[in-house]
Amino acid sequence: MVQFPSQEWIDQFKELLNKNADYEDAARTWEGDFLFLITPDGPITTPTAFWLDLWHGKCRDAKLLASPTEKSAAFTYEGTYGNWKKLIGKEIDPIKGLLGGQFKLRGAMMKVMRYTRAAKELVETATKIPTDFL
Amino acid sequence: MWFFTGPKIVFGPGSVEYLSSLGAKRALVVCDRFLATNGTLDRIKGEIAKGGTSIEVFAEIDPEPLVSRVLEGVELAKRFGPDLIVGLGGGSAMDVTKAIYALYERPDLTVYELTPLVDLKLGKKARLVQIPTTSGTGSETTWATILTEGEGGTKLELAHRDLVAEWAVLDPTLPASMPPKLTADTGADALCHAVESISSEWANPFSDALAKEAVHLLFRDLPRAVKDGSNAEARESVHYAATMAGLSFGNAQVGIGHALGHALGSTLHIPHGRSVGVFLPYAVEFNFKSAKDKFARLAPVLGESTTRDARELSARIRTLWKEIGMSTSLRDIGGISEEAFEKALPEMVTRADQSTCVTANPRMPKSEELTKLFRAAWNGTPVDF
Repeated sequence: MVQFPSQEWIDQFKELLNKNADYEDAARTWEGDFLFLITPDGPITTPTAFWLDLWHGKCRDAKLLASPTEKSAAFTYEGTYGNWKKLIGKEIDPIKGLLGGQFKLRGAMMKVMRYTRAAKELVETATKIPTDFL
Repeated sequence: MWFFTGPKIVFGPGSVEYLSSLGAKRALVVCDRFLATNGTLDRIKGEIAKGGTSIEVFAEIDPEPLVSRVLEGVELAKRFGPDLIVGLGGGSAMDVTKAIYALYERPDLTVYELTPLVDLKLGKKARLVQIPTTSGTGSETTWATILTEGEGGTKLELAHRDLVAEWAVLDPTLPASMPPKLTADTGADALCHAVESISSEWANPFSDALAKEAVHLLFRDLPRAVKDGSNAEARESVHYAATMAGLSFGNAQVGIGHALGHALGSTLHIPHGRSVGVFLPYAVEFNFKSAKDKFARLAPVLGESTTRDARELSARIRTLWKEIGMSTSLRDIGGISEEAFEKALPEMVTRADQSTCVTANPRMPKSEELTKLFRAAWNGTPVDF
């Protein structure tokens, strides 16, 4: 079991994502890095962020940032820790979560909406990590 | 957590008379070109004018409307300053009306910002009323607007809850003059909305109830409305069924049939209802294993044996298509050569893959499966993958 959030978790995520052929197919033309921002909620008391460099169906780099402002990215997907738990547990659909207000997106929404299958594969990959939540 | 959003609805023969009660000072009517010549626009203007309202008309809407057309309408709205904006026509006219309304209210935005993530805060300058003159699109109820970027360009699938009209006026006398082919095309679109909504990952008890009744009414009355356009009872039933299907998918999403249909329509210029309709049986076969329980909800309407088996359900739809003169394969749809189909195929696959319509489809299609689906629909062969 790996703890969420942690560098170990995002390392496993990167490894599994790069083995996911369905993600590679869905995101084969995607270009753009993401910040996955976890806002304080429950055991998370300070904003926490992962940065992922996603390019043509592969994750070139991923890391837990020391601070959310350490890097800027083309897109930021933001939600509370509780909602991230629900997302990884497949209780919230990543797109429905945006439409329902549980998550916020900064960046070109039109571009993201053209890659909803890739977004689902990102979540599908996260569900495969044996995760220990705080 | 989810929502159910829809307009207030006034319905029944003569319900356009309600327009005089809206208390507007200045009304902008946006409509299809054809409606400006067949008396429909004059009838609507007459009803609005009874309330002492000044009227301006933007009757420049074509099928597959371009973003540039929206911008023309916005400029007219800015000059005229309406406190009521009325969409009159089929899906294209009502979709353009939504975009004009939004950009008139928020001139600081572009069409690309009409997404659920922008806090639009509309309704400060005008009220929005939609009046469908065809029976199929459901646009009078939904928060979506489909626009085309440029000639032959990608379809922009835009949406925001604030784009839902305050009122939808369902007067079944308006679509009474639709010719049989248009009745069939638009009715097929409505059936696609209902069937794709009930099989959607985002289906909910409210959308299911409306989809079921829409499927029931369309199977029963669409053939009668196509065969005899003067059958007022069938016309009324199909008109309301289209709105029910619109309310249903507007709150649950459509699926891969629409993704394929939008890709075909924008690439090879096939009318919307015909292009989504031809794919519905193939979409059902593709999705069936992933959505058995969802399709089973249609059992009270179509029978248990039909909804237990993908082939039986798709065959039932094909039988309806034949009854109303719809094509059941792309090869037979008319106007597309095999060479043109093959040339367009890679672009159509990309467009379908990037369509928001697959977002809530019960089975996520890989790009190679999209290619196979297009080929199955071209050849009229079953989906066995």
